Formats: sequence, structure tokens, C-alpha cells
Amino acid sequence: MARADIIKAAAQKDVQEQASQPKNKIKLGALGALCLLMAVFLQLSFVLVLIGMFPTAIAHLIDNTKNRVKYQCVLACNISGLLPFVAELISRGNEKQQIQALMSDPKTLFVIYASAGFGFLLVNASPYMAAWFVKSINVRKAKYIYQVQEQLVEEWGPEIMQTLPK
Amino acid sequence: MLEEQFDSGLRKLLETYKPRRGLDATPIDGMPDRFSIDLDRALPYLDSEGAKAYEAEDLVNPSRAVYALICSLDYPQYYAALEKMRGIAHPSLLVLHDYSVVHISRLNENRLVLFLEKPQGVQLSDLIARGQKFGDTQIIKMMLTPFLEALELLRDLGLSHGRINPNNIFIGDNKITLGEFYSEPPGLSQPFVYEPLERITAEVYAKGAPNEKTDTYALAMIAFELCHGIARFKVVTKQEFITRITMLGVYNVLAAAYDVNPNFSDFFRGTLIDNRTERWGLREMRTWVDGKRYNIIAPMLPQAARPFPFNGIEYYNVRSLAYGLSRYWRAAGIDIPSSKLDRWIDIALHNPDMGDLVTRSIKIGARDGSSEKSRNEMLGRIIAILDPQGPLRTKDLSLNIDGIGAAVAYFMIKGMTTELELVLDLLNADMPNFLASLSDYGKTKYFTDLIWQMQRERTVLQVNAIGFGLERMIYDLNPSLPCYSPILRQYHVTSKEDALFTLDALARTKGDKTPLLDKHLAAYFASKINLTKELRMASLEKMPSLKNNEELKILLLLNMVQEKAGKPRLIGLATWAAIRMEAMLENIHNRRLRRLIKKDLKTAAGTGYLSYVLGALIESKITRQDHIGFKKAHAIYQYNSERIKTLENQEMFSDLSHQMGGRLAMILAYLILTVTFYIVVDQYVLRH
Repeated sequence: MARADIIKAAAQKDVQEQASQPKNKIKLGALGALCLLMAVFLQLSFVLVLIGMFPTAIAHLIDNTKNRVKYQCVLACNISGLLPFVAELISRGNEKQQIQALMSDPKTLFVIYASAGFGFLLVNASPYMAAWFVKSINVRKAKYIYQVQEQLVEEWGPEIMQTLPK
Repeated sequence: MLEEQFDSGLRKLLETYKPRRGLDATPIDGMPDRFSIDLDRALPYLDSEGAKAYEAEDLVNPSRAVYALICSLDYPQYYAALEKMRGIAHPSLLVLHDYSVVHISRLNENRLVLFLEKPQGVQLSDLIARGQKFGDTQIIKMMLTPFLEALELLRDLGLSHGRINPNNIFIGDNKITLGEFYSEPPGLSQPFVYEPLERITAEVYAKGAPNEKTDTYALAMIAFELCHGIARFKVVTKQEFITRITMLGVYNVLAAAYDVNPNFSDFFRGTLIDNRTERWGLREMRTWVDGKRYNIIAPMLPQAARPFPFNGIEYYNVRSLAYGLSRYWRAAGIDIPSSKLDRWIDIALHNPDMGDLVTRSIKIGARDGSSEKSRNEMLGRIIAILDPQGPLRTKDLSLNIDGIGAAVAYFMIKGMTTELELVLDLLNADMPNFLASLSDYGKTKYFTDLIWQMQRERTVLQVNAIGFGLERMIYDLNPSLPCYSPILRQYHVTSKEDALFTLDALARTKGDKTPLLDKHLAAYFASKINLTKELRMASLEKMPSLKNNEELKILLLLNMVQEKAGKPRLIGLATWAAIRMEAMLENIHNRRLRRLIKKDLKTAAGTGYLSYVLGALIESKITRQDHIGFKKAHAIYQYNSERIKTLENQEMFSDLSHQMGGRLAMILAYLILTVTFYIVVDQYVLRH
């Protein structure tokens, strides 16, 4: 790559970073507002949410992809694991003893973290599933095209396979 | 493949076809119910250079003595005379009863055979050899008068004999007969002593058509021989004889050796001269035979005041110099440009016009860095200027203008390519026109027509296409020459109709494998239909492989010939053509179309018309359809190939799997969340 191109690419990156800085600020602000809202609404259960959403925070940190698939999967699964416990706490009046009893039960964090782990598993296993699916479709398509090619060769001769002079 | 499984049935059609005019229709060793040839009894004294004589029997009239002349394939016969002489009866001419192409069993070949009246008596040459004396009256009344009548008859037919010599004159009881003259090119076997200068100096196969003055000359020489004998001239070589008569003139050479019979002096002085314009013809001979006497002075050659030395010989007249130059061609090519020949002509011969022409011709020799070609042209022009009555000369060749046709045919038959090249150089330099423009005889209609034709042949030679070129020129200049195509040669075909029917009959044995790609065949037919433009197939514009296919062009030509011959039905030839075209079908890409065309070909061949056979392939609709279809199919094939590549690309497949897998995982995760959310809401909110 030429020096000019490298400089140009670096400049573009700078521009992108500068453009993303206000977005990050908005995101942080929104997250802060959400946390404040949840703290008000959930009161003591918010502590459980903070501890329970730990895997999501990790996923957020390690997933640098554009679509953030891993993060989103872990988030959805993590919430799925956390939600019944939060609902249970809220339905029982959000009391300190309840929270302590729940937090002291290893099953609680195990279920919450296991559901987040399932999210990780889902993200890593689904490409294999998709590959199997796509492959079966491709094989079928290719088989059909090969048949068409054979028919063309049969009708027009093997010279059809050659590149025509311009 | 589609078409490989399909048999067109053309070969089966050929196997079952019986031609209208089969090859077995050619008579064997005779003409059915007319003549039979006895191949065991040769008659060598009746042979000519171009034919062998055999005893024959007249089956209709057994008392009539006939003999057969089996013509050689090595020389073109004198067809113009053959046509006119059939059945002509004259007491002093052998009657040509008939002629036909006959299958000669011993040669296993078809040959042209002439059936002639067998001459009675002995050859004049035998009588001369025995020393028999002839009186003046006997010579005039018994020989010259009847021969003059015979020659007058020939003149009325537009012919001359050209082969009057003692070997070809037969003397029987009160009957004298001239032998035939049409079984060989004119004058081929005529001994040089009986030929006038302009014909002796030409090659024996290129003397050209004889004229009445050729015959009067020969008669005068025979008369001279009967009066005085010319044995001393018969022992000298041809070159020596020519040298003597060009130096002194033929009459002076003869008169110097003998005291000329005064009763014949007018005849000899009027006839035995080297100037063809001044020589007696039949009219003058008739008045002399009828008794008129002229008191002609002995012919003299104009002699120069001082000689022109060349190659160690001193020349006193232009004609002898012309012969000397042609005889010592290489030396002349070196000497003449610096020899001041033009000055000699100007001063010693007092002919400044001729001198100017020679000067201009010498300049031609200096052109192109004195290449052999331009040197040949220069010498040819100089000799033509010096001897405009003589033949055209080039290196080692002398050809009369009207003998060029026979010469090229002879060279072609004998495979003499170097000589052919020399003739082509002569034609390209327009030498026949140059020579004719210098002489009086060259301005007659016969010669102007010939010159025009030769000029036209120059363009024929330049066209590099089927039906043109050297072979075409040979057939154009020799309209009666049989076709020398390897396919037809042994069948001796002499007309386009014959050629078509022979090909039709040959289809059964040759049609399966023999290509119809033959230059001679194409040139022969092109000449017969006077093809003037290169054959083009506009409908095959999109298919260069077919458009430029030479065999297809020959088939197109054959179709034109069939049309011009009155559209005879030729199933054999049409099937042969269809088989050949079947091989060309590989140029049609679409296998279904090929199969359809194959089917069509069989139907078309069954009609016997080449136009239908050709139509099956070269119809523009079909070829366009194939061309466009192939392009489309090719595009689809290439597109599909790219698609297969994409489908089988592991890298792309992996990326796609990841993308899809990610989406699938997200869908499943959010689905789980939705279900959980629903359950939680259902359990804790809706139930309380």
C-alpha cells in the first residue's frame, strides 16, 4: 500500500472515531438513565440485576463485531435467566431477607449464568447448524445446475465449454 | 451425444441407387453394334504421336475396312476438327466414321477412340524410299489437284489439315488419300521439313492451329521432294535446318541445292517462302493448278549492309538473329543489353522504328535490377520485334499465340511446372498482345479474339478462389480438353453434362469417402459455365468456417452446373454431396438442429437436386438460429459455471454460514427471551 493510501486510511479512521464519540456519550448516558430508572423501579432487586448481568457485560466487552451478535445473544439469554428471579423478588415485596436468601442460594447464580452460557453456546453452535443447512441447499442447487450444464453440452456440444473468441 | 445416435441413411440410399447412366454404359473395346477393336492387331504405320492405331471391324458393314485410333491421355486432341470431320466424305480424305469414349479393357481406362476408314495402298514415303519417280503431270493431276479439293473442303468447314507429309499420304489404285490430322494437337507429329518457319520454330505441341498456308507449304515441299528429293535436308537437325532457312530463306536453300523444275517454279516461289503473309494460300494455288502462270521472282530476304555478331556467328537479317537469340538465350541475356543492337538495326537495316522499339525493350531488361524475369521479358520483346511472324519466345520455350492453350494443357498433363510458370510470365507481361500488335496476321479477328481471351485469363489467374487460377486458365484456353480431375480423368469426360452423369454414377463407389474438393473439378465446371465472380455464400456470413469451406463452394458450383445443364435428376451425386455436407455439420453447434438437418439431407438427396441438398444447410434461417442459439447457450453455460464456482467456494460458504448462524442464534435467543418474558408476565402479573 502506498504511503498516501495509508495516511488516507488513517485519516478516515480518525474521522470515524470522532463521529462515534458523541454516539458513545449518548449510549453511556442512556445506560446511566436506564440504571437509574431500574434502581428506582427495582430497588433492592437491582443488586441482583447488577450481579446477574455480569456475563452480558463481559460479552459486550469481548464482542467487537459490527452486529454484536454474541453480545445480543448473551444479553437475551442472560435476561431470560435473570427475569424469573427478579419477578419472584418483586412479587415477594422486594425485601432484604428475600434477596439475601436468593443470593445465598448457589442455584440462583448458577441458573442466571448458565442461561448466559447458553447464549454463548448458541452463538458458537449456530454457524455449524447454518453450515449444514446451507450446504444441503447448495448441493441441491449445484446438482440442478450441473444437470442444466449437461443438457446444454448435449445440445450444443463440448465447444460450448470453451471461451468464445471476441 | 444426440446426433451420434442418429444414422442419416444416406449411405443406404447410395447402396440402393442405380444411376441413370451407369459407368458400365461406357462401351468396352468398341462401339456397341457399330465397331469392335482388335487390340491384338496394331497398325503402327497409322499411329500418330497422340494415338495408337488398331485393326477394327465395322459391325454394320463388314466389307468396309476401318481402323481405330486409341487416343493418348498425354495430349489434348484437336477436338474442334473432330466435331466437324465426323462423317465428312471426300475421295481424298479418310472418313472419320465416328468417335466415342470407349473403355479399353487392356488399359482398364476410358479413352477417346476414333473409328476411321482404313486407307488403301501404300504410304507415299514408302514409294519415295523405293526411289519411285513421279512426272510433273502426275504430281499436279494425281496429287496436288485432289488434295487441293480436299483442302478447299476443309477450308469451307473452317479447318486446315496441318499434317500433310509423305507418311500421311496413301496411294492406292487410282486413289490418293490424306490421312487424319485430329488425333493429336495440330502438327505434333508433322516432320519439321514440311512445316513453314513460323511453325518449326515453335515447340511441337505449341504450333497452334494450322491454316491453309501451312497446308500449301507442305504440299509444295512434297511436290519439291517428288521433283528433286530432299533427302539431304532430312538428315540435318531441326536447329541446323532452321538456321539455314532463316539465313537465306527456305526457297533459296532448296534452290541452291537443286535446279528447280521450271514447271513448278511459280508454285515453289509463291509457296516456299517464309513470310506467312506473302505465302500462297489455296486461292493462289487453285489458279496455278488451273493453269495460270505468274512468273514470280525468287523470294529474297532483306539483308543488312553489315553483319551483327552474336555468340560467334554473324547475322545478316533480323529473323536469323531472332532465332539465334532464342537458341542461345542465356548468352543473349548477357550480351544484348550492351550490344548496340538498336544502332545496328537503325544503321545497317535502315529501320529506325524497329531500333526504337528495341531500345525501349532493352530498358525493360534494366528494370527490377536485371532479374531473370525482366531479362526474359526483354529478350522476348526484342525477338518479337525482330521476328513478328515467329512464335513468342521465352527462356527455352517458343509458342505460337494460338498454341499457348495446347502448351499449357501439355505442361499441366506432364507436370511441367517450370514451363507453366514461364507461360504465366508471358501472359502477365501481355506478350501475346505485344507480338500480335507487331504483325499483320495478329490483327485478324481470330487473333484479336484470342488476345482478348488471354487478357481475360490474366484476371482469372489473379483471383485466388475456387474455380479460378491456373487450372481454370487451362480449361478456358482448351474448351475441348477432358476433365483432368483425379476423380474423372480415367472417364474422359468432355462436357459438363458428361461430368455430372459420371460423378452421379461414381457416387456409389466413391461417395462414401472421397471429398469433392478438387481444383480441376472446380476449374473444369467453372470454365464450362463461364463463372466470372468468386462464389460467395451470404447466408453463411455468421459462420466463417462454413463460409470459407472450399468443398462447400464446389458443391455450390456443382449446383450451378446442374441448373445450367437443364436440371437432370442426379440422386447419386446429390447423395454424395449430402454425405460430404454431413461431415460439415460439425460447424452447426446445435445437436438437435444437426439431427434435423441430417434428416433433411436424406430427403433432399432423394430428390436428386443439389439445390435442395445445399438448402438444407446454407439456409440463412437455420444458420442464424444456430448462431444466436449457440451464443445464448454459451452465455448460460458460462453463467452457470460461475454459479457452481460460487456454490462450491468454501471461503464464501464459511462466511455465509457464520452470517446465517449469527442471525439464527439471535433469533433463537430473542425467542427464548420472549417466551420467558411471556411466562413471567403470565405467572406474576396476569395471575395476581
